[in-house]
Amino acid sequence: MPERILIVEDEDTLCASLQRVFRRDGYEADIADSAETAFGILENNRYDLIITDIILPGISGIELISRYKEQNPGQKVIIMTAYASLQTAVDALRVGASDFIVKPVMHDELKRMVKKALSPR
Amino acid sequence: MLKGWGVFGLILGYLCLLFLIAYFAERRERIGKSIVSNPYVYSLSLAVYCTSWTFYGSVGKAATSGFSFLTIYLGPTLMAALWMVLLKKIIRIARENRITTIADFIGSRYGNSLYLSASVTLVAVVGITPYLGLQIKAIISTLTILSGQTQGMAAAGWYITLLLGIFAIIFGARRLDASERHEGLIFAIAFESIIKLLAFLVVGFYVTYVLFGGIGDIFDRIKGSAYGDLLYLGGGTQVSYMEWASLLFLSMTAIMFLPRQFHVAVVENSDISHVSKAMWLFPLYLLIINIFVMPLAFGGLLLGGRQTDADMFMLTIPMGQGNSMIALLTFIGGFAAATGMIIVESLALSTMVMNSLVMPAIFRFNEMKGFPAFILNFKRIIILGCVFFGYIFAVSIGEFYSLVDIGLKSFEAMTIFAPSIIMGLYWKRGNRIGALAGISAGFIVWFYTLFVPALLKAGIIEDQGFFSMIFNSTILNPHALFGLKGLDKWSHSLFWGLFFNLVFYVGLSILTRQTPEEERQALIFVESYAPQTLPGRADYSLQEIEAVLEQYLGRRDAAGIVDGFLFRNQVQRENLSPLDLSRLRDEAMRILSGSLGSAIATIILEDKLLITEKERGDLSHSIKQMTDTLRLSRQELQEANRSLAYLKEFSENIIESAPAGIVTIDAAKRVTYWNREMEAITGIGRAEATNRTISALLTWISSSTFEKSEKREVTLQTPAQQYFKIDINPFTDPSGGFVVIFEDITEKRKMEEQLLQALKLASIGKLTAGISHEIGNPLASISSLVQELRSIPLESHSEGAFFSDSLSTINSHIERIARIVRSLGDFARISAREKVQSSLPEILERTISLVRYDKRFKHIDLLTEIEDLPQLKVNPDQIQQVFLNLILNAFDVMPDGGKLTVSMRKLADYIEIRFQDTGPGIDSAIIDKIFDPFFTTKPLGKGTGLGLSICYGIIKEHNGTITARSMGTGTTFIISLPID
Repeated sequence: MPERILIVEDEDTLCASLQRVFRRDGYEADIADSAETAFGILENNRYDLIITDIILPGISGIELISRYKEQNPGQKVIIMTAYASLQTAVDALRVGASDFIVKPVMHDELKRMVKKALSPR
Repeated sequence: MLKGWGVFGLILGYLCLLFLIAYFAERRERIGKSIVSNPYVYSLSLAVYCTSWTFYGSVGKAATSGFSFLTIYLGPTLMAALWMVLLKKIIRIARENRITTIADFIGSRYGNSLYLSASVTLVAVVGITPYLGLQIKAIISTLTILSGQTQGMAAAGWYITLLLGIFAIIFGARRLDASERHEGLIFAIAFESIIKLLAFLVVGFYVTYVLFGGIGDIFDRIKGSAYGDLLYLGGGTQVSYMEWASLLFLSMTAIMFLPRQFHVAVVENSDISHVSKAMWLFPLYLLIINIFVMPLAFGGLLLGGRQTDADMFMLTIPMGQGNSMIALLTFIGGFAAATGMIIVESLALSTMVMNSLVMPAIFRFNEMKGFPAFILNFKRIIILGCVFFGYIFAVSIGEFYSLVDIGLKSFEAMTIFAPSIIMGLYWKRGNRIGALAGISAGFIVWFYTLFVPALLKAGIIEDQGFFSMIFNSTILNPHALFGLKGLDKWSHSLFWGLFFNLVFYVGLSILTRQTPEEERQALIFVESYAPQTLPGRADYSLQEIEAVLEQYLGRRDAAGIVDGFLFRNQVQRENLSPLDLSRLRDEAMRILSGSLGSAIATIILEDKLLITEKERGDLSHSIKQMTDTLRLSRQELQEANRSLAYLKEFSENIIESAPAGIVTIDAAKRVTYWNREMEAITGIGRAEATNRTISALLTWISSSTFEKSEKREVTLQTPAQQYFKIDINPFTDPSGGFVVIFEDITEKRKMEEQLLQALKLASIGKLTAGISHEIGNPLASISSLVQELRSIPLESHSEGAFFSDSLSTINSHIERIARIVRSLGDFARISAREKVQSSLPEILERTISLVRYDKRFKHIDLLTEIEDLPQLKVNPDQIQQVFLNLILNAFDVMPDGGKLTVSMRKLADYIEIRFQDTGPGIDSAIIDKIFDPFFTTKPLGKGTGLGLSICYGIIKEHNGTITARSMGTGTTFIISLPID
């Protein structure tokens, strides 16, 4: 059974590109263009990993993770951001993100992070 | 008794003594030691009022009418109370205008009217003649009684009259200038006043205390006699209360307007202040001389004398007792009283006649030679004429009347002048026509009611035919005019005289207009206005004025007057201003007034002032207004002064408490003001600073700063690294100088710099966050797609190679962009994280371990010199970032290797960290810019230009400093971090 990844990203091109990359690698990848959409998807689905941007239209990625993790503390998360301030990194780790990647993302790096995140401890 | 000639000799001797006394007084005056100019002699000379009427007549009156004789002395006593106001004003005016007679006074007041002064003169001569006659009658009577023979008495009277006339001439008309005072005459008069007083007191004492047992004894005895009524007022004395009132009024006017009283009180007054003392001295004299009147009168009656002979009681009582010495003394006293009056009165009258009648008449012959001598001789003749006129009256009419009756006729005549003078002094509208009509009416009434009956009584007019018809008619009866009965003759005459006088005077004054000259004179009199303060018409030359004076006064006197004027005013004959000339003309006019009368003087030196009287009135009004305005503005000025003082204090407070140094300097750049803040700034006290030049006090200010007189602002740095903003404001005052305001802007400048940097950083932080996001996202998309494309295996080999190469190039460019965006993120995260106690050497060690793997590190010789340092509360990540940036920078500037020395040491209250490389150094032109964001010396694509800027921001946030130094080769970055 392939592992499931949800990519929350408002930049459609990037979002679609990443979905293709992970599908090609055999993951089951879904996408959401906002935190609100993501909440809708997450109501009926469970994912092994959520990759989310921080700055989204409406609710931010940090907010999305912190709320979802209240119900699902074990949820694995990788945070992407174009704004590479230390504060965002700290925020990301505080909400329990497994990893933190600055855009533009290198596919290899991201794949490594995903693999690392999904690998059982 | 004494032979007639013996008495005559006595008289001559007395007169000679009098002359010697007068001569002595004149000598004293000439050597400047006047014995006359004092209030005592002045008061005694006023006692010329007490004539033989007083000396003999009072006793006669008391013997017939009891106390009513007192009215003649109570009137003057009452009047004396008014002297302060009335007499002083008259004296002032008379002196100002050189008025010498009462006729002149009235004439001048009403526009220098010749007719008026002539009328007054006529009235005075006619009115006074009985009075003069009275004196001569008294002398003749007493002489007759004393010598005990009637034979030859007519001739004796003639001689005595002539003698008196000559004596009057010697005293009064030796010189021409009548306005000049006659000190000799006045002293003689004063002497006579003493003689008559002493004589009276001696006789009084003799009768009262020698013949009787004192005043009480006499009064007791008279009470029991047939004359008891005399001790009471009204009733049996035949003197009504109305008569008392009338007599009081008569004597009140007499003391002011009798020609001789006017002469001694006004013309001969040497000092106006003497009036104040005379106000009580003169009434005192009157009191003393009247003490023995009643005892003498009653004594005479008790000794069997008849009331009709009472006038001579003074003489008959001692003679009856056989005491010839006392009788002789009495005679001398009476003679003194009579001569004093005759001399002064005839002099006054002659002056009046001369100035008001004769001079105007002969004025047209003034071209004749020897004019001054002619005037003088004429005057002498008039004096004699006056005396003889009196003599004629005395021998023809005098015998029918008592002394008092004769005297009162004269008194009554003097009331004619009262309205014109008194109202003329206080009522401006009183005019010439009114005065003329009033005086004429008064005179006619007087003449008709008092003089005509006297003529009738003397038989000069027969009471028959036409006269009888008039005199006995109800309307024109001289004793009951218009049917007015029941009044005594004095009250009757006084009532009608004053009534018509006042009606005509006031009525015509209101109905008729004044000429300009009258307006001016009215102003001069009523306002005591001095006209010579305004320049008159000055079309007379000095020579002309002198010539006029010469013509009337003689060459010697004229030259004396002109020279005296020039000397007094300190001016030269050659250069007289119009004002001086005008003054000289006024002086000449006053002097001519003295000898010719003011009316004539006015004609001679026609005085038409440049401005009309209305204009003069307006002028004096506006001067008054100006004075008022001036007083007001003085008040306003005081007010303004007060507010100014308040304002000064207020502004000084502001200046003192101002947080800026405020200095004022004068044109020579010397300090004139130095406020408290200035003391604080410079440490120089105000006292020390004042009057020293500012460049000497503040050496860091070049003196050229204050060269230009224009407002400007400069910023200067002191040797103590203080910055001052100096505001220089030149005074608008032409005397120059500046207000200089010092503001210590050292702190402000530091703050401004920090703020500027902080603002730069803050805006860059926002910018970088935005850029990172906006560029980062599309870049991420591109990057993602490129990576996808590159991962796709390609069909065609040749095309595949191109695609692959292109994608890889695109990818490297993306990475380059990404690197920039990321470092922007680094920059923006400066202010993050908390500070913790950290060890700087540890942070450095960590950083070095990071760079150790950098391939460039192999060529670098890294040295560390680290002292024992305390821990600092810092953000270790940020400090590591700084160290990293500086070390990587050093690697960059030393690509071929070199030495990097990192030293850390504790200095005072901060820690200094130095990074010293051996690179090429930084050009001094750009060394200030190296901490600016995006400034870089590296080739395009090699550096973001944010590294040092980030360092700067971090160190600033730790309240430290970072500076760069470069000395030719090598660069040293110095970081200072404060120890808390």
